Amino acid sequence: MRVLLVEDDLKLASFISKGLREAGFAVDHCADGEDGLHMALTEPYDAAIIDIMLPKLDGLSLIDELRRTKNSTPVIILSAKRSVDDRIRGLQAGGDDYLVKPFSFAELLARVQALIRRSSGTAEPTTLVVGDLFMDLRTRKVTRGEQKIDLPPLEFSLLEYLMRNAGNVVSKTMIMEHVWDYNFDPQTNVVEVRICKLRDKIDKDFDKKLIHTVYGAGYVLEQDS
Amino acid sequence: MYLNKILRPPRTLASRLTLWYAGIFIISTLVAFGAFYLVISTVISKNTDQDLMEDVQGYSSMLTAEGIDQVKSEMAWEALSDGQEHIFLRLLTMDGKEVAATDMSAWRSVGTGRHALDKLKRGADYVLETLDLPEQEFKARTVYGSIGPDLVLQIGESLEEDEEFLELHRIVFIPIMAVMAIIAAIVGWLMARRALTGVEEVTQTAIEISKGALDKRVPFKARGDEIERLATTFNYMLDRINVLIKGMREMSDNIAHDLRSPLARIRGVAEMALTTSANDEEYKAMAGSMLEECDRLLGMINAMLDIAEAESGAGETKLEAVDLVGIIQRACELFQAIAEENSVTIATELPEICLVYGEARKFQRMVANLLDNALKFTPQQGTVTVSLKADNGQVAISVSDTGIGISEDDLPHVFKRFYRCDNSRAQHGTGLGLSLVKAIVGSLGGSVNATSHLGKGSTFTVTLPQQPLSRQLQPSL
Repeated sequence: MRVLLVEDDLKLASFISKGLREAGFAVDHCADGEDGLHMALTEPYDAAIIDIMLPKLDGLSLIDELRRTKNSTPVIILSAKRSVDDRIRGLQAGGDDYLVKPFSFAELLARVQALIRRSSGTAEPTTLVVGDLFMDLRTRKVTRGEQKIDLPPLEFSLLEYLMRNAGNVVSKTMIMEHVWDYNFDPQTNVVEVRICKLRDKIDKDFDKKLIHTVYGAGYVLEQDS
Repeated sequence: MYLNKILRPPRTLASRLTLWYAGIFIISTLVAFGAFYLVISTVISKNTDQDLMEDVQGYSSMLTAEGIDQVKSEMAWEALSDGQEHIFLRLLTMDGKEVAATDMSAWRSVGTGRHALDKLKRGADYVLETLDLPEQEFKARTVYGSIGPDLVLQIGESLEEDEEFLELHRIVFIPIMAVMAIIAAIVGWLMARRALTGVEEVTQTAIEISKGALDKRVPFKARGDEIERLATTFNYMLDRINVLIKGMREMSDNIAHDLRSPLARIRGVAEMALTTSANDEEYKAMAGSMLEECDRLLGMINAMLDIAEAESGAGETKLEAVDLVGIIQRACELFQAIAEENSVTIATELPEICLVYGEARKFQRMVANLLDNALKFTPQQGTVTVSLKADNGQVAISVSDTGIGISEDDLPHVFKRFYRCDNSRAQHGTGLGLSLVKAIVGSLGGSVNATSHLGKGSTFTVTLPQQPLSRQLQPSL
């Protein structure tokens, strides 16, 4: 998978590149809009991450130009502006997703993967499997090994999200937003408590733990290798 | 160029109003005088004609009754008594031959008037003509009338008196006109000045404010006119701006205080990581705690931006029907886990459905913050009750807890940004939750208030209009 990153903040760019490479992506980085457009038009990419504020050619014009030439590479817009209007403008210009700075790398990674999955037309799975944990999305049944696990709706969707992002860290913000549709962080530890409850049901009776806390960053569901 | 400058009217509103006023006044006076003059001159000339015709009629009867000699002597007598340069009379045959005439020395160029005689021949009773004679200073009016068989009497009369009378009118009118124009200009100017003094005051105040006197207000005079409304609106606007500026000042002070502490902690941890040697696990823990502090900071900044956005009314793009009951139920569900962990019960008293208009996100946030706040201060075995009542187009949502309560001193301040009661400092939080609730409720046209008993618990009640309100910032005048 090859990703184009157009970002003029070099520190941020190197941090994103490094993270994406560790996640198995090939990354090309451009520091201004004109270079970015040139690269986007000449090389085939699976996804592009484009900052809005860029020297020479701003991000929105870049995307506009890209879409005019019928290039449909999925694009994630990065921006420091968080108002709904800016978001709408970005998506209208032809962006596929919009991420506000500062963001957690985990979130960016999850979104890049989701975009690639969507654009490559991978069929929606009807079952999710991580190790011996099995989830049937149609019947909404969860089993681990031979044991059937009953989950209330909120915890079911939390587990579904963790399993869809198995192996990747998901932050508390991402959980609030994607699982419960709250795009803000309540002060109290709503997420921690839910995770704790989920652990009781998924991990407590088993030797191999699946849900891991990444201190400060969030949670990850994976099999210990 | 210079002439151009003089001709161009001055640009102040007062002088323009004056010019317009005086101009319109002068034009209407001129029109009135013109009409008056026309009427008078018509009436006068009609009278003259009438007199002339009556005169002819008189001679006609005299001819029948007393004969031609009496007519001739009467003619001579009339010409003498009125003045021979002023009037002439003569008798003509239908062919224009002079039968008799008074002294015509002042009327030498009067012709026989064939044209008029032709008209008489064709059956006209009288023929009237205006003569402009070189030997006469004024115009003259003449009448031809048949007074007997083949006998025509012509009487000509100078229009001197009429003309002088009209001339007098013209002479008198010009000075009167000038005086009136001056009066009109003065009155116009005074009126414009009076009407615009209020505007001048507003301008003065604005000038002073722009120089820095932010507390200045337009002096209030209860005149009840448009200017007073302008002044009131202007003062209202200044009050609002003042509140906003104060809010901004307070906010930046708060930012300085409250954002510095998480920054200090981040800095501290980073410094420690650099100066102490630790193992991987310890480094990870440090990085983790830095991340947490960063997220807290971010949360605070976002909350402040949200408050500012809600207060300014910006970003209000969507207005959709939202089921408030559904939002409350989902929020309660979300917080249920925390409540259970602290052995707190969340009770609800909700109707089936309650539609309100606004942005779902805002309602979510409002309810979540209220619940969050209530749960934070409710001890074990306590109860948080959420209820919703809708009537009369108003929705009242109240969240009450059996928590520690808020002291009377603190109560008025709980909605202030970063305000934290002494006993809440131990709880983690930003001190922005309730401010955001207030800002959101305000942007939806509602109100929020808090009641509390120390040790017994607090109740927060939000009242919202069910229909979207058109944004009204107009002061009630």
